Amino acid sequence: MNNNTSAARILIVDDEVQIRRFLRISLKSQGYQVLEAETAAQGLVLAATQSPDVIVLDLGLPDADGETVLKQLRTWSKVPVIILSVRETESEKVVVLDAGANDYVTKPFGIQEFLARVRNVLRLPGSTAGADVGLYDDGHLHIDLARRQVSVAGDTVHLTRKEFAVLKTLITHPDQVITQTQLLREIWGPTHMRDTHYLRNFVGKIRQKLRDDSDEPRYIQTEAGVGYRFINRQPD
Amino acid sequence: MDTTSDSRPVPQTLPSGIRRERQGDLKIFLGASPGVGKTYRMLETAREVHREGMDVIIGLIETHGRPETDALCEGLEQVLPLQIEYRGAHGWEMDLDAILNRSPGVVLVDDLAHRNVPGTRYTRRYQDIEELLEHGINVWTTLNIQYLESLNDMVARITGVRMHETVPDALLSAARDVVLIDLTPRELIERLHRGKVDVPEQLRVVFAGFFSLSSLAALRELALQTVAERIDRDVREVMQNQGVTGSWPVWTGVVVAIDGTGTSDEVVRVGWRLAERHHAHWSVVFVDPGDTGPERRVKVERAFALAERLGGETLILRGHDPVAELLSFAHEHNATTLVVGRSRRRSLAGMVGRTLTQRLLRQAGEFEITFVPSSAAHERHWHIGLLYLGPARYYAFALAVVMAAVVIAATIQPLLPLANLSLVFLTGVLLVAVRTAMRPALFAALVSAAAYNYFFTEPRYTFAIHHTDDLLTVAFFLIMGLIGGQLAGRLRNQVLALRGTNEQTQALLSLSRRLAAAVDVPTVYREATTAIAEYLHVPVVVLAPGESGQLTQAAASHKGQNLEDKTRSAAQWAFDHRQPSGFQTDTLSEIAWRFLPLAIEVECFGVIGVSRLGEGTVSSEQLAAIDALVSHMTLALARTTLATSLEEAKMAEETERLRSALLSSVSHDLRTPLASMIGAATSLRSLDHALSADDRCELLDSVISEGERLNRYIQNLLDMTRLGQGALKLERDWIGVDDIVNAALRRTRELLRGRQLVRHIEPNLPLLYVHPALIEQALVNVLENAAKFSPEGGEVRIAATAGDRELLITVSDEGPGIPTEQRVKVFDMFFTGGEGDRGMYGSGLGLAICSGMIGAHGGRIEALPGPNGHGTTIAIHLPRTEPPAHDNEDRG
Repeated sequence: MNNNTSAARILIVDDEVQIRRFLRISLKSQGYQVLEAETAAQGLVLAATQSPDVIVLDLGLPDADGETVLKQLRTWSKVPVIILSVRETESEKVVVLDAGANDYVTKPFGIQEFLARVRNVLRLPGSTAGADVGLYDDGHLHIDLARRQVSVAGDTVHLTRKEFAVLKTLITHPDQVITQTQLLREIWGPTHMRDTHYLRNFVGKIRQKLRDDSDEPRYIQTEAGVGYRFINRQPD
Repeated sequence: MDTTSDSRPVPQTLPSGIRRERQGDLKIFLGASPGVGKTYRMLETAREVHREGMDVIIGLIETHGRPETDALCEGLEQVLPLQIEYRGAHGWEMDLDAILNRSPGVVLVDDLAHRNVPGTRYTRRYQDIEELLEHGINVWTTLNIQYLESLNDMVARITGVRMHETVPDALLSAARDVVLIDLTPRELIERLHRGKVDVPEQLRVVFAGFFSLSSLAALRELALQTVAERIDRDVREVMQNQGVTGSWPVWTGVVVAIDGTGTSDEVVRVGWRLAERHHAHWSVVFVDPGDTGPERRVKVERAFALAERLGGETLILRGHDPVAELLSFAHEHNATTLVVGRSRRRSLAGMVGRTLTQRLLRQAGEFEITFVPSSAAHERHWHIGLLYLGPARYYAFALAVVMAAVVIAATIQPLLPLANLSLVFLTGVLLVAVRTAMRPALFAALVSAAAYNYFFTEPRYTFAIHHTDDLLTVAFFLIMGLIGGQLAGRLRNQVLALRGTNEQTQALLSLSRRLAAAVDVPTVYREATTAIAEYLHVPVVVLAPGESGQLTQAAASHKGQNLEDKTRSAAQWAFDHRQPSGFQTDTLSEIAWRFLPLAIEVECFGVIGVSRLGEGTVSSEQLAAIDALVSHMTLALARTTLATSLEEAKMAEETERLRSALLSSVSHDLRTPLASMIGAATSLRSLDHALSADDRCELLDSVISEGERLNRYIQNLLDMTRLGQGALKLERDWIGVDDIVNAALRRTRELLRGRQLVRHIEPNLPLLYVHPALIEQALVNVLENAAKFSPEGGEVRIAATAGDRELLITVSDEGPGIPTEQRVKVFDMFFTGGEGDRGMYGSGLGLAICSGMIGAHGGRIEALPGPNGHGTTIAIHLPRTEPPAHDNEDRG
């Protein structure tokens, strides 16, 4: 039995009773332990005292804004955080993701999407479950990070250094959103953090090389206004 | 002409300098008459600059077949003229479009005043040239002086021929260079004889008249003068542009003094010419000693009207000494020149050096003084002037006083020595002086002296005087009487003058005060019309542009002022041109109204009209007073308009704020219940197998209650919209308090689960006469809040009592409470009391809607601290309504 379901503790920080309710029911039905907090203050206290494995944080808390909470949390914890937000607040999402959140879900959301995020985030090295992503092979796309080799349907693909760096960042956080600013900063340094159009073209080129540039990319998914996500298609 | 001691470029002069840089330059070769050689010189100059490399082309030159001119045209590119057919004949005109296409550096176009053959773009060649200039092409052209519009009259007088092809003077002013081609008349006539001059059709008829020596000489002088004036202006402009004040004397001001005699008009004109020549500021003053008769006043007004037409300032100075007043005025206004009419011949006064002229010469050393001579005919006016003695009743009064003095003197004669009796008469004279005017007082002095002599000096009842000392007494009495009378009279005049000024100032002050307090435009109109009407005792009306843009009456001092069409058009003219119109102006002066524009800088609020009673003129002081009042009014209008704009801007800002708050509220408050619903529903569907029966029930409850919550929120939004639009129609009905409370509790049952509900509804409460659904909604919102903020297990108390005049319903919770300073604001729309996107109390709309609904019923709602000091109590007050009297039940 892998670690990521049994006894994993999830802290839900949301001031809406009803949202907490269905989240609690659903998570419990999947075997998770659920902690609840109504305010940011409460949430931080529980995070400190109960060591949850995942924190689900609503951005619309009455007593603090998400960014502040995240920053405070990140000074002493690397716990994975999933944020709940509404559609319009793209910039806020990006800010909070850059401040250290790992992924997000937009309200209203279906429970499956949410559970997938939780599962995904539990696979991170920072959580109790670890995962080694040195190698990716789903039968079509093969990526060897150590030897820097990529092949698609058997044919070798040549990526430039920067292109590979982007792919590596995406693939080491499978199914997780990486913000544009994160990618830009990692690869081009802090001065280029605003050149999102450049990044867009760049990712397009990578997709092209991976032969994944149809209307619906299978591997690299765009999260509009936020960033990109690598979809893990390896069979479990 | 602006005169400032500051030599920085004055705005009136700069624009022409700037304009030139954008357009093409115009160079005019000006001549006194045809044949002086303008075209020839133009071509010569053109060839020179062409040799130096400038791009010069010929647009149109009329050589009239003369070989010398033809020869000059060689070597220069020519644009072929257009052939135009007109009435069967062929005409040649300049091809404007070809020149525009060619876009040369300079184009030569002969005869600025030429009238084009019909069929071309413009009727006049100067219009073609204007278009060339607009496209940045430099133009050289020729012009005869007689075609200048402003000189049309003069040329007609000189030559007997009136030119029809005139050119506006603006073109000459706008030209960068004007080259004068000069030829003496004799030489010109010689050339004529030699056939070297092309004479225009029009002039052939009056050849002799035009081409006579005297005519040509006069035209030459005109041309020279025009160019000389231009040179002056050019130089001045350059110097001003460079900020150089120049070595010429700076003429700052001319003061013209008039006295209301026949020469006043002429004096004004002389003053104007002087001021014009030196481009100085000029004013016309009249010194009013206080005893000016109506005839003199009329003459002064006329002279003032003339002065104003010519552009001068007019003022009335008050004082008994014209010289002193004039000099002090001139000093204050930094005048350099005085212009006065020559004083009338007063040999007596002249001998002691007391005429105006002599005194001015003595005292006005630092000014230049110009004396305007008066012809003999005007002398006669002097006599008429003196004859103004004053009303007859003054003299009758004087006589009566003297007679009374005689009687009193006779009565007390035994008690006083003879000489002292004169004091009684003196008293009489002073009395007359103080009560009437100076001349009657002098009359009284003379009569008193005569009476004193006749009745009291030896021999009595004769005009002879036997004793020398009596003679001296009489003589000295006479002198004292004259002096005293004059002094007293003068004093009286000054008092009267001051009173007049005082009235004016009072009117101004009172209006200022009233205007300062005005808060909106209609008030300003009302106050101003009332004040001005009171001051002048005439009807006053204000016209302002209405919604359609047309001028309509905005205020009137007397009801029922209907304006005729002509009057209306005068008002419209004043509004459009920002200038006064009506009587005593230059426009539509025959109507009985005077309209002044209410304008400040670029904005014109309307016009104010002052009616004229009868045929009298309004004095210039009154007009000046009106101007002052009107400028106050305009300022007040500007202020109130700004205040209104500010209000509107604030409203707009507030509306914007509400709108964005609404949007974010909708976004959040609609989404949240939906998120719960979708989350719960997807959980039910996907995780069905993993859920216990209880779990499923809970999730389903969630879907239902969140759906209801969504419904409530949408209902709130709709109610808010209706409240905002005033579309809330109250359909009142009689309903019991407990019914409403129960209904509200039913709807909020879910929400209140887990809280302790306590009810304290008094029995036998009177019925409410309200719109049940609205009050229920209000109560639901309040309960929702109470539930939201109540801690788990906390108490929610709902109570209702009745007082004399109102019913009170309260809902209390044990939540965190509302801070004192937020207790009123919490009922505002989208009030956010705390941080985060939603406030602590009131999600934005809930309490605001309560407030609106309760308010619509005439009640009020307030937030109070909860029982025991913590938590919150919301109190709803509703007015009691007595039910209609029932018929007695036991009616048969």
